[in-house]
Amino acid sequence: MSPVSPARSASGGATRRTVLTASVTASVALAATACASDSSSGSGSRSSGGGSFTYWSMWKESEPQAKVIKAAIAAFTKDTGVQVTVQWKGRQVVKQLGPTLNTAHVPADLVDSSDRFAYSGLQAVGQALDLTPVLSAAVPGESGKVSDVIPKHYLDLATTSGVLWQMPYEILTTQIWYNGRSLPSVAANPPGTWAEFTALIASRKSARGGSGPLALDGDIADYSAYWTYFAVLRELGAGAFAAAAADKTGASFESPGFLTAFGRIEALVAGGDFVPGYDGSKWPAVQDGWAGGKSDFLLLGTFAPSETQSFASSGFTYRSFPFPAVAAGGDESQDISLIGFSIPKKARNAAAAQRFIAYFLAKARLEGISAQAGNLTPRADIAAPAQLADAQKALSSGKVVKALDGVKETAADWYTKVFCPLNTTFLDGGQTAAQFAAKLKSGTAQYWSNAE
Amino acid sequence: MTAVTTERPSSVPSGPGPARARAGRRRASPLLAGRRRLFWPLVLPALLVYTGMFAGPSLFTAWLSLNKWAGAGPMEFVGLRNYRRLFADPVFEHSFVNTLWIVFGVGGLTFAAAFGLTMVLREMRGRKAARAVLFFPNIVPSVALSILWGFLFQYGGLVDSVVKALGLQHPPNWLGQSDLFRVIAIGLVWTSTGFYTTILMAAVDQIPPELYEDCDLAGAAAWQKFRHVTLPLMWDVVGVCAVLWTISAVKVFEFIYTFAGAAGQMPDASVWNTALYTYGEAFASDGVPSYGTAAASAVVMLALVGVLVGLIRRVMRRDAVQF
Repeated sequence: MSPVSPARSASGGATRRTVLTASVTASVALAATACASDSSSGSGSRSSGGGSFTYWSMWKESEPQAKVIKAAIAAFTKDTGVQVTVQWKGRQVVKQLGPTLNTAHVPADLVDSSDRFAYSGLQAVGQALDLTPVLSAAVPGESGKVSDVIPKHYLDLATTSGVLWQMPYEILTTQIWYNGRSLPSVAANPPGTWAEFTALIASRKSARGGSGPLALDGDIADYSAYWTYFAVLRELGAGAFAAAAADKTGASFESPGFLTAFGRIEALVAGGDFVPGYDGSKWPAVQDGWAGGKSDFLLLGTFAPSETQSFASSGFTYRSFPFPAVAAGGDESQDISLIGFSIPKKARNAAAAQRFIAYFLAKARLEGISAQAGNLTPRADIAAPAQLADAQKALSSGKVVKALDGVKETAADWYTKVFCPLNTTFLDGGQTAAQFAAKLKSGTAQYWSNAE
Repeated sequence: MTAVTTERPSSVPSGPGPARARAGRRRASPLLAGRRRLFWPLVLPALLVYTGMFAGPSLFTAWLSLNKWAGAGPMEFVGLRNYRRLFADPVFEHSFVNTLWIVFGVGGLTFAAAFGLTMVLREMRGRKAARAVLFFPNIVPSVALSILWGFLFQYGGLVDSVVKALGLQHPPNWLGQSDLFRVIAIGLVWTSTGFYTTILMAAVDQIPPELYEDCDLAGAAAWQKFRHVTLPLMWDVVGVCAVLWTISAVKVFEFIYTFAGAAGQMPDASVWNTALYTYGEAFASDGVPSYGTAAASAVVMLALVGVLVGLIRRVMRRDAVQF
């Protein structure tokens, strides 16, 4: 290193200043150019007012739902002249949108997702536009309004404090699936009560030489949770599980009703009614095995047929029945997860997006979700695909409840950290019903003592 | 670095100072002057990127850890409350313990295996091929390895078949909740050993062979050669490896996430480490994200790395052996 003279230092300083000034000027100029180009590209959509909107979708372009929506967009643009810019983002779409919600330029005017993501990513942070006005919009091509075709019991599941934060276009419910071809007697007379169900399990277990007939991919915490949740739902009715989750003392879990419900699941586990290896397999090994005939009954959502059909044995006929009631006349409510549209509060083209929602809910468009994408829609006048006919029939009573009582929205942290690990241990046979209840009680109390 | 940006008058002798400065100025070559002119243009882009992409976000994370924020909507300053919540959360405590198990338990096994292989491979024929095979798991993405690992260990999988063939009729429930973390630990040892073996062997290759010949003449056993020749002469490299391992071990994420999680769900909380905890708090929860506690967890991870690296450097400080 050599010393630098003041003169040289000064000139060097001048040089550095020049370079710095030039760099900063260049950076600012670049940024300004970027902003200018951004605003100019954005102004195109803004200047046309309600003439266009941007839609971020939870589907990938190759998925059947995307194809249905794409066709609807093309028809919408043709019929209304409104241009739609669609981006197929995938399941994390709301999370991707999240960081932009605090800015003035929210990039999406319309977004679709599962209800729990729409709730946590938009509604819970005050960024969901109330879609109530859409209900009074006419459904294009039909005589009625949106509120006439989308049943209120589904809308209620997406309404919080009077704000309709999601408009459902696809619904999922949980059923017990079986092969109607190999079990025609079950198809003719599905079990309606717990006693009938356990008798059926016993006979199937015997027919299988002692191997458990119940399929469960136990490494997926939700799938194990469904068993416990449904036992509680049937014993105590809708909302009991969520109320216990929010009980700051945790004492609800040791109440007689919970202990009875837990006892039913404990009996299944202790009796070896689940297929061997259910607690040590990698999803989707067990459900694929079930489709191949290695077990008889699979408790899963209405996505079960589409997920397993490539592994199904020849002639497999998808049939299902609801989780049985405790006794005749007992709770028969069906759990529901919604997939639907939401609009960010700061969307610049909300009116056009709302117009599209009403357009898409017309029978002519929405039935593609059933016919092409193989899923249930909220409209009762759209027939379910054959594989989901039993599920649609189960929903006809209109008695519905948010899946898992909505705890994945309202107490997701508790569910992940307290309930699921204990429940997995319980379903794996690592603790009795009483031990499970006691640990849930202490874990829940501890959780809420530390929660905000 | 030869570029000089400031004059330091204190370094200039007081007597003939100006004269020397002028002499210095005259001595500044055109090359040096050119380098000085290029200093900022070359440094500035990197500095801007580093500040904008690394230092800025890191500082923002530290700030975020003092706030309650859902990723959107208003941010509320809560002071150290996120840290208090974190340390009172049994899941975080468990995740922290798992992280320490990975750093020390998995690290211990990895280095034991790497040293063992180094000793064996040093004298083995075809060691370059063996080294390549050992290094292979490091090239394959962890995601692919962890999926393979799952198929190997699941009920009725290859490992079960091998164990049964060996006469054990009831193999352990490898992927069961109680054994899952142990299987993950073994997987991490498997994926990491090749990398450190390769680095350690490169250091061993630099050791003059005559030292080992000397040992042979003196009748030294393999362990004695390792203890008195190999280890002292590769100590600096071992130190670097220990630091590298500590940093990467605290950040282990994808192997656990893809091995134990499925269908878009987080793995069971019993196998979380602090990296998964951080992710779970901010990004993976189905509920309202808690960026504040996630940031606090990230800051704790950073502090853990800092403390461990400081300790390792202190413990492993030795005078360099010249050879």
